[in-house]
Amino acid sequence: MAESKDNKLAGVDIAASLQGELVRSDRPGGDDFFSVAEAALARLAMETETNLRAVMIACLEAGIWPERLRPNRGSFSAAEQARLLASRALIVGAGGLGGAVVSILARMGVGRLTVCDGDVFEESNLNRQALCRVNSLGRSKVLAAAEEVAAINPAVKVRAVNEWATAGNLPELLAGMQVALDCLDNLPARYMLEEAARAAAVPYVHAALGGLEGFVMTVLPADPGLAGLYGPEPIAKGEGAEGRLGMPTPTPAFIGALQANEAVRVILGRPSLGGGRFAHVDLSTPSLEVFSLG
Amino acid sequence: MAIEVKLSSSLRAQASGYHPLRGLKVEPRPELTVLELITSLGLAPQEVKIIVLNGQTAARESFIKDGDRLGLFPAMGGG
Repeated sequence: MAESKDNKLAGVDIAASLQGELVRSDRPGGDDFFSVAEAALARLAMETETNLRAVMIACLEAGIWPERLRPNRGSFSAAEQARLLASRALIVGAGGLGGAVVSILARMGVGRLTVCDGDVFEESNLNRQALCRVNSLGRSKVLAAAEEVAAINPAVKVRAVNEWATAGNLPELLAGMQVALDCLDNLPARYMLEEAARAAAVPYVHAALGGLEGFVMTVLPADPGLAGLYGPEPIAKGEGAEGRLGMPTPTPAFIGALQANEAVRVILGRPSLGGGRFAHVDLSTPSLEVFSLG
Repeated sequence: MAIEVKLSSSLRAQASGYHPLRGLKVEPRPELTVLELITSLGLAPQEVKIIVLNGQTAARESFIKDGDRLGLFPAMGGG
């Protein structure tokens, strides 16, 4: 268990262990702080027989910023960053939205990601799916996600589930999650995820797009959710606006960024688009408006 | 005054000459419902899945009046 590994750091004086490796940033107004390079963190992880993620958490709890996360400082406290590293998020779908979300959450330092998708990449994914490259055509989307996370941030642990999300496997996938992200490509599957998330009392962030527009809505367990937005019954795959207007390149990148940001806010308990509100994004005008479910 | 109507994505092609930035200005008659307005604009009612009236989702039976802001959206499921 990672938790028992974390405990090995409990009695360790992090600042003393990293002495000589800490870099002081002099900031105006007495806001000085220390940061530390990843090589020193990796060494400490080996010495303490823990892992990079556990060492990063211990550093942040001591007010020391891993150099890779230093630019998050100012917008996020060390305690919040540590909390993100200790958190679990489930990403359902590793296509356009999922590809954007996986990379953002890995860079953000959300510590444990489970990515679920039974699909493989095909040529028509190349226009918008960040994990899809010419040499990944025909390959599993979730394996590509795991490789991407490892290449971006080895402190983040990934569980790649090479299966379609179903009412059967979602309860197990949702167990212990702080948040789930709906990165699916059709409304029936989204309604199924919502039902499972509600049953597991896991907040989730819905996102969907068609053409240059999209919606993002954070659904807390007591919120009206998708029925409040689209009505009680989902329409079939491809019958939404995406069937006519496609899924052009910029849309999932933008909507996925907004969705990942919401997931981070949910984890940290910051105000989010939960409570029966949703955002509509239109990249053609461009505009972003937030509405309420009536 | 008038009702300001904005159409989203695939609904725009159904209203000839629609301009996304300007939207539409509609002079309401008394007791006009959202559904009647949708029909009068030439939109297919079954394709309007989300109705936002003055910032809040509303039913198609809702009455609309001078000064209201109405947004009409299709469902979106892509990802």
